[in-house]
Amino acid sequence: MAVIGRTSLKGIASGRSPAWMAGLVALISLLVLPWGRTDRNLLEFDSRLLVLNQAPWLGGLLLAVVVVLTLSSLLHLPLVQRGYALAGLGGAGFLAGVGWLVATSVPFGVGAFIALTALLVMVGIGLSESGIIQNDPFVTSSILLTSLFVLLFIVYPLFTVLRESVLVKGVFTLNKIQSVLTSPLFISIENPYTDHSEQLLVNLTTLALGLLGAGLAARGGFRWPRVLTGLGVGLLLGWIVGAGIFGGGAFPTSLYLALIVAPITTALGLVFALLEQRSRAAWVRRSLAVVSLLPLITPPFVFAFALTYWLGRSGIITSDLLGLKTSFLFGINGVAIAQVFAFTPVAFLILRGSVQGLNASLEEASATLRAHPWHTFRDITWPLLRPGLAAAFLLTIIESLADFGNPMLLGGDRNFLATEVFLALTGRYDPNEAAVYGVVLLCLVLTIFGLQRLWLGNTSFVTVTGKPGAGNFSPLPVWLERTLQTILALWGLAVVLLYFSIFYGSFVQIWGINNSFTFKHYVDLTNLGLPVLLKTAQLAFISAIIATLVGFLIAYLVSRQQFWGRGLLEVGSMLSFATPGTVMGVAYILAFNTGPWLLTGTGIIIVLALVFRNMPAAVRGVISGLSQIDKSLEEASTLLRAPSSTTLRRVLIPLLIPQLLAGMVFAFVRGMTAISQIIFLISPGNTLATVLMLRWIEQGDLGRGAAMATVMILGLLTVILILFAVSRRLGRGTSLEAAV
Amino acid sequence: MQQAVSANLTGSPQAVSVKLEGIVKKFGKVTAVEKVDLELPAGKLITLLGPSGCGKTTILRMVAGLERPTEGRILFGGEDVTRLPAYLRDITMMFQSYALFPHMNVYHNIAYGLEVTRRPKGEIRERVAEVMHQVGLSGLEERPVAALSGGQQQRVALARSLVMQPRVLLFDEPLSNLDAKLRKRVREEIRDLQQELGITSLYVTHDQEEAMAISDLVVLMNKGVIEQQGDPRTLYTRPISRFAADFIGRANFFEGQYHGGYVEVAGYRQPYQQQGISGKVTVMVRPEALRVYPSGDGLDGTMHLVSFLGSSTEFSLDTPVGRLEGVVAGDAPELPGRGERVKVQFAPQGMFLLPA
Amino acid sequence: MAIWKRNVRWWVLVALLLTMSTGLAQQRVVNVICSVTQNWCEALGPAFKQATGIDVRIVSVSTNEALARLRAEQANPTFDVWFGGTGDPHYEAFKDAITEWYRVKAYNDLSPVMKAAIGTTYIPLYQGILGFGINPKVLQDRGAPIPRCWKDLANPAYRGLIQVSNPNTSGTAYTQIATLVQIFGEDEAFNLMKSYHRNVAEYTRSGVAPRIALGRGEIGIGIQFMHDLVEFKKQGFPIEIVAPCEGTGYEIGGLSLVRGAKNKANGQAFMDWAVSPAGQQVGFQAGIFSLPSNTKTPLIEGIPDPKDFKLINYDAKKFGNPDLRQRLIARWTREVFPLPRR
Repeated sequence: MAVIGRTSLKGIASGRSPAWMAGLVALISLLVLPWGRTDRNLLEFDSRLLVLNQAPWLGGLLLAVVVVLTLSSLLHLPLVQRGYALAGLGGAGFLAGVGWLVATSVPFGVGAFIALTALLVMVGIGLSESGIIQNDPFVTSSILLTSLFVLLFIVYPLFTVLRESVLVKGVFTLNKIQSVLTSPLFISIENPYTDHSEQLLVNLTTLALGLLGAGLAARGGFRWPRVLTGLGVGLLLGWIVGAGIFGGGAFPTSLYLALIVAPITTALGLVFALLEQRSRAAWVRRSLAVVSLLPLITPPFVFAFALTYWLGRSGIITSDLLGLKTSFLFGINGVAIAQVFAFTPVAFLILRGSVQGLNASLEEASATLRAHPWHTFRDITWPLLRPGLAAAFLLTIIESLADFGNPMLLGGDRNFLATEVFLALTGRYDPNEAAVYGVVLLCLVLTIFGLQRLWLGNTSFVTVTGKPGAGNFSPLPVWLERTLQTILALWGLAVVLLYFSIFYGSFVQIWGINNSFTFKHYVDLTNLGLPVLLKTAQLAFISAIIATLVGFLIAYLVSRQQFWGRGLLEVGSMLSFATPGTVMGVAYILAFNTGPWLLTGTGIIIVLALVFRNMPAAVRGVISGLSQIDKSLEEASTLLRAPSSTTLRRVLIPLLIPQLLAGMVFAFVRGMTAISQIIFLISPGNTLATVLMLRWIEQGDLGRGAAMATVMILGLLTVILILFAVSRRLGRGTSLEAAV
Repeated sequence: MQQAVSANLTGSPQAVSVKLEGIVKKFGKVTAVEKVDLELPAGKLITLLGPSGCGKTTILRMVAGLERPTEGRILFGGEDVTRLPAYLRDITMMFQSYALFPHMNVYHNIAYGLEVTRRPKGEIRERVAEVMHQVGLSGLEERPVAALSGGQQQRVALARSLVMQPRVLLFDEPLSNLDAKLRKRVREEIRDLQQELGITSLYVTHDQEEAMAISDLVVLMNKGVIEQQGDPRTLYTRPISRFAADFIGRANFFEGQYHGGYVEVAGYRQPYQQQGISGKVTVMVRPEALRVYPSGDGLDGTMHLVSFLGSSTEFSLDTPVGRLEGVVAGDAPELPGRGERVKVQFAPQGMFLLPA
Repeated sequence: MAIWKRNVRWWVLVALLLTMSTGLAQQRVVNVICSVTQNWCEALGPAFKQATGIDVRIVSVSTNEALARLRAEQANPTFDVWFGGTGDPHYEAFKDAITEWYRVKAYNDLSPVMKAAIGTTYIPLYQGILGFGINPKVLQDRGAPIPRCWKDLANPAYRGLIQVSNPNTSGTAYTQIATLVQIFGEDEAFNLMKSYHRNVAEYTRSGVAPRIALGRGEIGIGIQFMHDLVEFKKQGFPIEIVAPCEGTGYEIGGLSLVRGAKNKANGQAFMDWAVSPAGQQVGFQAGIFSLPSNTKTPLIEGIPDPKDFKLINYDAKKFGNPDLRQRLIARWTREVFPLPRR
């Protein structure tokens, strides 16, 4: 009689536990792997670093715990009781280990890392077997591990930033906040050296816009709450505009910049989205397909760099055509232009979704009711577009505030919040000041995220792709279509020229001075930049794999499992997306520079920064992929005796390959082009391409910088095109939806 | 599907009884299941029947281990499995959506459970072939499941469950996606196989006809509690409540007075015997128990409609206690036409008295 | 065991990841934080490797950023040697026990003037002289004269034509402020800076940066170290170099051993090599025209020679004091920077 490998009825209540494997790993790392290290070398093997030599009492204790747990896991024992023991003793061991690391400030070694991870896995198995958390060991262990990583690499660094802003040399004080917030670098309005009063001008602007806001709000009928809101918003905007124009300092400048960029970008995004949906011209669609690719393949500040060729003091347009010697590009103007180019595709991708959410039949219905097109637009189209517009607007504000590369190149001597974080730390070496700037920036961004949640509910900022929907939309009026097409054509021309100038610039000796053709910059790039490019690709690749795996696991846990703290895990994992890159970079420097978590100066910290920066996108992608897979598939697999790890491997991963692949490529590309979060973290042998490019451009090696940019753009384009080809083939080979 | 069952699959040595003790399930503040006690005898097919939202699916999922009861215990053959994770419970389930793995072919769908439990390759091949033969899918091994018809997909799902020789087999409205004719055929096949293999089965449906056709025992649920349980016949003839009578089959209800030996309805005395009830009652009469006579003793009535449906004829008539619905087998040309005055009597085997 | 066979794919993946991560591990080398121009930094590694066989890993950052990083990593230094950059931060690093003094083998051959100026705080690497970079064509187009003195900078004809670096981020800018304070006295110096502030097109973040705009004809005057200007001029940019008449300051580029360096011996070997004639000539090949500290280094054409200019007696010790430095920068940020320019 063949009996399927089933646990006998007796075997359910007692038996062996998979915890022995974790126990064995922990045992090995206790006995032969180093627990601490003297340097940044994580693979340092020195018998003095064994925990048994470093802290015999702790080593002995842990050894005893692990041996007991491992042996008990190998015996047939009652599950529930042993589960409690695993959870309790394992947890105590874990806490003892962590406590020792924190108390002695010894930088953790491989052994500590592996042993603590193994102990946590044992706790997870224990929680599962005791039934404290009803789930299989894989899920419980995954919950614990992902929570630990999110805590350690997202929450803890941000907490460190907050701490550093009020803790100067170990003493709690608000002085630092006060001195930063009152410094002219942060905000300056009144200027004693002018004969007019800036404060007065700012006040007037504030008042004017406040009244305008109140007036607009009162238009549809006078109601106090509305009018007060209008007044408030108007005053706020008025102050930002006033302080941005008449005053100075990072705070008003950054806000003012965002207020300029967001409406333009959103409007352009809407133009493109409408054109994509309703234009009959083939060139429009084709060029919009390219537009949606741009943000992926363009390293940051490349537009800014190219703009100097065209609009700089000796730019082709400004100087050669118009004969101007103007530095108008350097400051808010230039940064705003560069940001409009950089962020319009992002706004387009968001608005594309909401434009496609429009219902053609509603418009037709309205038209057949003899509604004037304007009324159709006002009553039908506009309310449906509003959430998308708001989302695009707010996201652009966040991107603009967080942008680092463009203000770095084109900011001139204006201050911006994101760059000030960097300069405070690297220029003035004041970690506390950097932390204060970081907190300010973080508060602004989180406030905007909060607003977005409040207004728009759960519309996600991360999922910016939409599928073209079906439907017969009435074409745009001819005059409108012409206008929009012209805008697109001009924008496209500008982008082509910008890209071309990079390309051209990489092949001439000295742009504008000596325009003879040369390969010199590529030779230099091969000698000096190639190792860096390869290193960057290596780090980005490793981080992409880890980000995708961790992102997948978190997405699976939060969307498919029930457990306490699920919401916290989701929010925690999304925090790093909301956090501006420079703030995260400072946070990593502050958090991982000393003590048990010493990681600065290694490639690992760069990988980690990239992983936790790019993971939220993977989480979002997988969650939306999972929402299309019937949950009963997993339940069927479970009931066919597959533990959830097997279900993941054999059912979910094969079904999610397109999303995972896209997530991985996305993470890789973003890793290659990252700058703000890793510019602090580069170390000997771990220099990254974007940082090197920035430095070359800053020092005047423009040709070499252009060569680097060209190589990166072409390389990333190739990667993306390969992804498209692969996923198209996958899409054809399986018809997933048909059977689900 | 009618082929002899091979020795390997005959009988299920693992057939166990399933017992639910004081099961309560709350989702937040909503109580889905309230204090349910239930015993499923080994080898029998028990149906959970009830309107949607009555908690029947929740119970099924708790037995499967996909949900955890808020209170109470679940026992398999005396062993407490309340905290045992689903994948160790040795149970399989047929899903409403079939839940076939879209990226695998028929063979791998069926072999999945054996593969993940790491059975030897040869054994897997053998057993899959056997069960495919049994459900009539031989030859379709390499077919992607998306290319199968609904009925075939259903059989793959069944084969996938059976090949695991589960201790308990669960059915979550497995037939609701099939058309009426196919539904009848598949449910007979399921019943056949279940009886041959003797697997303890729990079947959830909202279709009373399906429940009666397939079950050893029907458990009728309403609003999270068990309304009544028994074999299909008892449930039909002896419903304990108006809800039970109404949900299982059709029924007429009207007021009456029971005097022991007869029921008085609007002046007419219908002979009838029932223990433990007296005085004012609600009379339940199944449609097929209506007897219509042109004259004589009986309740006064006026014919309303007569509809010939082929295998039966349905009619309705107005009486002092309201409109009553009746049915007779085959064609009934002798039935009086619309508007004609008639006398109605009730066949006692189709009657039941409920407290008013 | 079957588990090995069954999961071959996974083991391969794990092995692959492990192999890739070995790249993250570190070997025995010397880690240099480098604050001279990128070209020079990049040329150091191959030359030193050829001379000694030791690998050099270089991160090039500005002088202030280098100090910031060294300070941040004081407890666990990543770097062994700090190469180049203005002297004041090197001095500060020594005072704050971030670096230590190491007597290089060629110490006796080093320029006595440079040694005297800084004492045993750090090793002089080169001398760089502050000057004006001029784009004569731009000035001619504006009808503006060539500036000869610091005070000339206040001439309204230069409106929007000057670039100078920002002391908040640049060591060069601080050397300039210190120079002006030593020539004119503090208040007078600040008045001068305020008076030419209106002419400044942009305060650049990097001390080397003004030459870019200058070479491209975007501005007419850039204030920075002459040797960087010489390099650009040699590259073919139409620029000239002027030394201000009141006298000018200079930097003594620093070379320091990081205290607690992990590869101390290699670091010392690197320092010995860096001030040897062979090491100093690497700079020439990279197009650097600062005066090397080793008197035995054969010079090349184009190096600004201190003898040709009126140099002030730069008080490196006084102006290397972090407190004074911070006070002067803060005063500049408060009093000069916010002044209206347009």
